[in-house]
Amino acid sequence: MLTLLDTITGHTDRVWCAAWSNDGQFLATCSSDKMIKIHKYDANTNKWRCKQTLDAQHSRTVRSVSWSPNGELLACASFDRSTSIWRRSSEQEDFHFVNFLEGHESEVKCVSWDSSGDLLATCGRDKSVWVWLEEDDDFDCVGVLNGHSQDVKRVLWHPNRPLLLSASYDDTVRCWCEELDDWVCVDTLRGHTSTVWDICFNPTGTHVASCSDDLNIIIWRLEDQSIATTGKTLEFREETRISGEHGRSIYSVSWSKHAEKDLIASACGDDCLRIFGRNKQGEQFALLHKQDKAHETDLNCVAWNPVHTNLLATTSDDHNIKIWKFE
Amino acid sequence: MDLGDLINPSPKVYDVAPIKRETRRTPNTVTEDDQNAEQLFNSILGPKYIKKPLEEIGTIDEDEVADSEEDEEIDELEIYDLLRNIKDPEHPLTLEQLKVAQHSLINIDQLTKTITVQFTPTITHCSMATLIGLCIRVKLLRSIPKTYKVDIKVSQGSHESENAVNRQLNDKERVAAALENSKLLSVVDKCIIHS
Repeated sequence: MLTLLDTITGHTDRVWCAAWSNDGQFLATCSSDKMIKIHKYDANTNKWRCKQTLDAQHSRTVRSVSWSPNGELLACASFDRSTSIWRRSSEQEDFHFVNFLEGHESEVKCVSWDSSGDLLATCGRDKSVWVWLEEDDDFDCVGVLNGHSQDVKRVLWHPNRPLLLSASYDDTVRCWCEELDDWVCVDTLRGHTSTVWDICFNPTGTHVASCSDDLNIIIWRLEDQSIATTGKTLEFREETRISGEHGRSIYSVSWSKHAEKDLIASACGDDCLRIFGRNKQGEQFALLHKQDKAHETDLNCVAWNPVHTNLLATTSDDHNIKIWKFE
Repeated sequence: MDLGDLINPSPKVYDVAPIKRETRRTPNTVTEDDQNAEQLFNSILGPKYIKKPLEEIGTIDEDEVADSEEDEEIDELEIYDLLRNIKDPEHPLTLEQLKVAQHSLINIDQLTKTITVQFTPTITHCSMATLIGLCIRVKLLRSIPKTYKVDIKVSQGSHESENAVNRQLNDKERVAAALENSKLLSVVDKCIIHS
């Protein structure tokens, strides 16, 4: 059963992305209104409250936000070609501006922190993926990864290995790995027939889900033992797909951090929030819940809370953020 | 964008004839369940859309007028009325005069509230196709409720890069980024300002 717990208003334009801090306490969101907002649960009112609005003077849409693993740093990617970095003051929980990362030729579409907190990846319309190394709030570009033939929509690090995935308008997902000081593409995931909008790992990193404008979600299994047959060091194999459920482009997928339940939620351009679960045989994902008109219009992002694993956040073109409980 | 050299210096211009709305929807075929579902759907619709006066449409049923505005469905002719007077980026002519936009190439699926607009560039290698499509998208963005989904495509076989143009026009992230480009937006505004 899905229950709406709260509707958070405040952004004045399309809300693109929502990201929970690893401790599950804070929700960061960003919007075409050029602002970043930090929300926190308030036990007194039983509502989520905006604690702080971060204005980095981004001159255009802020498309993506990502927390460092310890929750001390926040990175925000903007169409204005820059990525802003913010640091949390330990006593006050307030964020202050630290730095701008510049280098992309055009819109930055996504930013992602790795599990160690040392590396940051960004990607954008210039078809490239950049890897940055953080040291004392300074960021050095340590790799520019070229390979995609179009717009790169999304970057995401593996939860416990030094692997980076990128999803693109060229219909593929690429997997990158550092070999001898050089970032190389170790696998290209082909299966979608249109833009891949989002990717997510399951909590242990054995599987990836990708969602696309082709209305499919593909579940890929990460295999290490394929060296003999393909010469690759690792490979993602299509295990199953979720087809025929979505009415329009699927913009976001999120894999639940729940220890026992294997759940995937999707945010779709048909205004619906869907939750899928692995069937008893463990082979396929079946629709468990479909929330019609979850928002007034397109859903752009869905994110399971990493600690309170029955909570979900969604964002929409209707300017709102919603918090849901799934039981 | 350099508009100095015209892509199509002498496009064919068509006479413009008013279109009469032939028949209105017949509510008799709607079952009670459908009506309930429709009311439920309508009650969660967003802000009312800005309605354009439709003088050229003859008589409207009294019953229709009695309906609340929120129950009003948009039809193909209303969409056509919004698009017909958009100016071509290259010529002082409208999309209607050039038959770039046609009433018959607009389709609305009322169940999913999806509007599909196909348009026909005047020549198959028209580099203005994306810009024309963007003008159509912006005009509809500003005129109809957000609860409607809009798909914009070049009509089949009318452009050599049909697939690429269609994908770009329907990638909302790219469209959003394009509309933050003030130069591009001013070109779009010029095309739609008196439409």
